[in-house]
Amino acid sequence: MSSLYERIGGAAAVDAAVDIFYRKVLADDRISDFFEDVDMDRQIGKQKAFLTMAFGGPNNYDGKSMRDAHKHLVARGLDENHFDAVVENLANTLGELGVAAEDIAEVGEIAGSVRGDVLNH
Amino acid sequence: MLQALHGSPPPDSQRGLKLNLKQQNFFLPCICFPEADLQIGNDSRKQVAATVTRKFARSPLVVELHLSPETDIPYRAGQHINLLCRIDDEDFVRSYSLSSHPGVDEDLVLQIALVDGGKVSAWIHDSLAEGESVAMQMPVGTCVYSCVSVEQPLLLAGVGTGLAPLYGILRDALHNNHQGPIHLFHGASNEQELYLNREFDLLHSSNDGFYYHPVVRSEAGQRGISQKSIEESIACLATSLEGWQVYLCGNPKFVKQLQKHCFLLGASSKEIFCDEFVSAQN
Ligand code: HEM
Repeated sequence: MSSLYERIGGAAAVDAAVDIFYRKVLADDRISDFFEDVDMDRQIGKQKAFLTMAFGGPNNYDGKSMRDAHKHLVARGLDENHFDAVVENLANTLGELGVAAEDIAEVGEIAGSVRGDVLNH
Repeated sequence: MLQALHGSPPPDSQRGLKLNLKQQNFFLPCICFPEADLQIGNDSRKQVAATVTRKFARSPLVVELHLSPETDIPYRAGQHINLLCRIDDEDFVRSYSLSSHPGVDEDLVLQIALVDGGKVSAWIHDSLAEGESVAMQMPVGTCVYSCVSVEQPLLLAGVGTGLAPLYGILRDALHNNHQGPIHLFHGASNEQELYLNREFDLLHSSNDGFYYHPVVRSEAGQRGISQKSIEESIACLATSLEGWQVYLCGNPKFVKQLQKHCFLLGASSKEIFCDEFVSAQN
């Protein structure tokens, strides 16, 4: 059986998803403040790492670096609700791209598995 | 990221790069397995001498400088060069965008704003004279006309002398027989600083698809033009920028905010090209 990453469409799917996903995140008042001052071109590169990871693809991130990447955001108040909002935007993005519901659920699980690291619990 | 000067990098090595970078043969060396010879390199540090052939005021704040380099210099409209100047025994390097087009203009043309307290811009405005020589480095920069289809609508927006590279890019688009509509927005602190309005009126009358949108500050006492007023003018033009190509030049704050705005209006992140003018310390 093919992997989740392959079923979703691999690197091409990441490319297709990144603009849609980041547009949703920037337009979402619940979380947009966290992205206010970040450089868009650099952040789009990082979003690709985010998506690759969430799609179960090859990535270079472990719990420790997820913790480090978001520590300063936790200090600014990043919490469960923000986390859920990001996962919701991700699910909606995949829905728009025609990804199957079971696969979206699996993406949600992968994202959920780093919740403790991202929120520095 | 590296650039191939001769030969084309394999498409796989350009995965995920912005369109303009792909077209200019940039590639990612870590995933590049060349299928044919590739020549890479970088001569941007090379110095050449150039003679000032013409200098005149475009507006109270902007002076235009025409430079004739000692050797032929290949470049793309929209790129920038470094000028190296020695003022009172101190060396300065300043980056200025080219407003010229290699197919139209014989000389390299710069439009230089007088910066508050800026030593170099004051020296260029007050001291540098026609006939004198300056040292410069090779043109660099990736914010150049990068259309795949000549039908694509274009949005060009700049504040102050952010207009200079846009003037080059605009004429490059016309030179390439661009068919889609082209909208150019120029933000300035007052009417006098809309320093290319006559040129644009002429271009508008000879090119059906070209539109010039001057924007000046509305409130007295406010310094500079806010990107908000340009955003409002864009809103009058289109509700979605999906499928557009966007070129933004000016100070970093203006460029970053308008970049985000255009992205939220639907422009692809790969088709928003930015040239930020970072001002020097003195
Ligand atoms: C499934 C959960 C998440 C994953 C897998 C994830 C993944 C990542 C990755 C890979 C980076 C790049 C790190 C680097 O190399 O610099 C990053 C950065 C970032 N993330 Fe997340 N993230 C998640 C949740 C969130 C949430 C909930 C927010 C805020 C609402 C958020 C906001 C950010 C910001 C603002 C950055 C950039 C930080 C900076 O450069 O200053 N992330 N994330």
